[in-house]
Amino acid sequence: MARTDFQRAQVAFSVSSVSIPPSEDGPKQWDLPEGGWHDLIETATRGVFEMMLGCTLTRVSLATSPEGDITAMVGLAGGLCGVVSIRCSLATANLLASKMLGIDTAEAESATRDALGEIANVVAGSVKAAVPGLEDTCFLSTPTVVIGRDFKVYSLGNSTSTAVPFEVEGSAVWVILDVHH
Amino acid sequence: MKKVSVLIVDDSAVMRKIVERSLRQAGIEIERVLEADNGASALAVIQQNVPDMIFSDVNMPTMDGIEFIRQLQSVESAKGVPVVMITTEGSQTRVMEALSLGAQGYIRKPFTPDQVRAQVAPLLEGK
Repeated sequence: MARTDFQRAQVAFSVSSVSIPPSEDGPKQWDLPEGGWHDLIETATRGVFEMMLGCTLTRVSLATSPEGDITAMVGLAGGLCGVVSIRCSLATANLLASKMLGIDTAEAESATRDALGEIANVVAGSVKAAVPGLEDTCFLSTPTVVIGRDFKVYSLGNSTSTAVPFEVEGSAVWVILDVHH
Repeated sequence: MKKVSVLIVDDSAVMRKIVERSLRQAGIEIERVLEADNGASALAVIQQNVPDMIFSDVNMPTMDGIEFIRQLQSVESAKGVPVVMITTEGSQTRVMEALSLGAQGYIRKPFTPDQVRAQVAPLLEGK
């Protein structure tokens, strides 16, 4: 296990393993847009990046699984149970922090984890806002940030995972929604 | 509109900076920024310095924003200080709870400076 840093830890979900079954577009009890979770995640994430960071994300196709040395996670509980994660390299997270704060990357280095956690928080809020009926029934945890790439996350039941890769200034950023059933 | 002192309550230091920047971009003239990372520390700050306006997150450890404004009601020196909630939570139940406890505005993350101005400017009229 690589070094793991639980920043601002308030872990509302198990963080000891990851089981990522093949991506599915979610159960039918939610009124999702035509493109399912993929399009919903894309719309929510692009909106957050444009408003908070002033940058445009490009959705890309990557053959790899989500990877990166920093992962910010926000738990969902209630009407939708699961985890929203954002994963990328530390350099990319540092770039995002600099854009968020409007300062250069060297100056933003100490704020990198906090910034990625907040991005995950707002993306999670936007995802739940996009699903009719979830606003009053689904609640968010505060963010948890994990540093390291050699870890797995297991949920305590069945879950489906939808991972959407984006590119910002040539760097990959993954947004992942794990829904627990 | 005179320069105002603001208290920004959020467990994320990054978000506190973004709120401050958005207020400045919205044309709010800020004399002093006070910061706290949860409701309990915000109440302690207010004991020393009463701001002209308070911006508070909802989801925070130790004391969340809802409990903060509930307890703020009994702080005599802070009577009349407008509170604006800034949060990712769009729950109408939470919004109504915050407003019923005395919050005077509600801004949802992510937000633009225009949205901040629309909420804040009316609250600062006459100050």
